[in-house]
Amino acid sequence: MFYAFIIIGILCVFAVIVYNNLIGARNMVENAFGTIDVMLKKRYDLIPNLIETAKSYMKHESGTLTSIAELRARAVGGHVTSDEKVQLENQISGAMKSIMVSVERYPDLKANEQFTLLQRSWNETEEQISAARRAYNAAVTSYNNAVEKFPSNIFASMFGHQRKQVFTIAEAERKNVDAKALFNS
Amino acid sequence: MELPKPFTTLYDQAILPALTPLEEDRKKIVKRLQVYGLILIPISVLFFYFNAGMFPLIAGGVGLYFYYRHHAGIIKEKYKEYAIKTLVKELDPGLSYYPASRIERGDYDKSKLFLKSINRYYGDDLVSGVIGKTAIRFSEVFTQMERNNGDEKNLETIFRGILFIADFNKKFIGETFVLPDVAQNIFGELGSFIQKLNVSRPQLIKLEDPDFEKVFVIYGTDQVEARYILSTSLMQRILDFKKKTNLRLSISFIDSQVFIALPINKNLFEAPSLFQPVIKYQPLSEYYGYLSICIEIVNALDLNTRIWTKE
Repeated sequence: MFYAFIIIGILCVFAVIVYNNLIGARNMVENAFGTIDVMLKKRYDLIPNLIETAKSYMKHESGTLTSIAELRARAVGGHVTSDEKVQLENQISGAMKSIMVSVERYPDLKANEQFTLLQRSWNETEEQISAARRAYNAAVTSYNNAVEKFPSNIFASMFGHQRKQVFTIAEAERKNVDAKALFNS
Repeated sequence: MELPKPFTTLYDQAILPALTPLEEDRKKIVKRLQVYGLILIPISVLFFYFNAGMFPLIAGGVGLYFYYRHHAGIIKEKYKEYAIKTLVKELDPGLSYYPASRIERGDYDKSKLFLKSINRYYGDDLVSGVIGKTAIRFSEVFTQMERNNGDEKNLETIFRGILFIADFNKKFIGETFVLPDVAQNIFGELGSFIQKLNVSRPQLIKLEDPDFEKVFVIYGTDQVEARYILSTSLMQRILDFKKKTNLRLSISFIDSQVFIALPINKNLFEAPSLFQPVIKYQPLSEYYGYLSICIEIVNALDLNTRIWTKE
C-alpha cells in the first residue's frame, strides 16, 4: 500500500512537470509572437519619417512612396485579418526594399544625414524583426515537440493543444523585388 | 595556419635587419659570461687552496647570475621592440603595441567567459587600435586559481591564451554567450537537457543552424536579442573562423562589445633563451600567425559593416 502511494505520488509530480512544460512552451510562443508585433510597430513608426525625407528627392519613386504610406495606414488602421496583415507586411517589405535599392540613384538623398540615420534604423528594425521571427520559430518548434512527443502529447490532446505553424518566407520575398509589378498586380 | 602576407618576404626585409644588431649584442653578452665564468673558476680554486673557503665561488656565481638576468631582460625587451612591434605594424599600421601592458582584470571579469574564480592574473603584449571603423584590443592573458590542500599547493589554470575585445557593430543591452559545446557532442539529446540545467548561465538558446549548434552552446539573457546578434551570416562566419584557426573559441557579447578567448597553451611573443640565437624563423612565423588571426577577426566577423544605428 505504502509503495503504491509512492508510485502514485511520483506519477503525479511527473504529470505536473510534463503539463507545466507544455504550458510553458505555449506561453513562450505567445510571448515570441508579441515580440514580433512590437518590432513591426517600431517599423511602422519609421515609415512616415522615411517617406517624408525621401519624397522631396525621389521624384520618380513618388508613386511607390504614396503606395507604401497607404499600405501602412491599412496595416495600422485595424480591421484586417491576420492573413491580410501578413500580405500587407510582405508588400511593405518588398516596396521598401526596392526604395532602398533606388536610393543609389539619388546621391543627394544618400548624402542626407537624417535619411542615412533613418536607413540605419530601418536596417536595424528589419534585422530585429527577422530575429523575432526566428525566436518565434524556435518557440513553435519547441511547443510542437511538446505537443507531439510522448508523454506530453497525452496532455496536449486532452487539453486541445494543437500544432502551430512556423513562419516561412513568402514566395514574393524569395524573388527579386520589383515594386512596380507589386503595385500593378 | 594560413598567413595573410608572405611571411618569408617580411622576415627577410624587415625582421632580419632589425634583429641582426641584437644578435650581435647577444653573442657579446654570452661571450662575456663565458669569459667571466672561466676567470671565476681558477680564482675560486686558488682561494680554496689558500683556505679562503667557498665564498669567492658563491659571490662570483651570484654576480654572474645577476649579470645574466639583467642582460637577458634587456635582450627580451629589445626583441619585443624590434621584432614583435614590426610584425604588428606590418599587419596594420593603425595598431599600437605595448609589450608590458595587458587586457585588464576588469575586462576579463566583464567578459564572463570564465566563471571559475581566480587569484592569479598575468598578461602582457597588448595590441590596440582601430581597424577600419572597429576599435580592437587584445593581449596575452594567463589566469590561475591557487588552492591550499593541507600542505600542498594546487595550481589550476583557468585560461591561458589571447583575450580579444572589439567594439561590436550592433547595439544591444543583454548578454549572449557562445561557448564550446561539450555536453551535446558527447551525450546528444541528453546533453541538451544538461545544458538547460546550467544555472551559472542565462537561458539556453537553440539556434536553427545544426552545424553551429554542434560546435557551440549558446546562452543569452534575451532570445530575440541573441538572434539579432547571431544573424545567420554571423553564425556561418564564426564557424568558418573556428575551422580556420582550429582553436576552442569562447565568445561573449556584452555591452555592445564582443569578447573572444583564444586558448593557446604557451607563452607567446617572447625572445628565445639568451643562449640561443634571437634570429629564429619558426617562433616568429608562429607569432605572426597568431597576430594575424586576431587582426583577421574584424574581417572574419564583418565588424566594419556599419549599416545599423551604431557607428
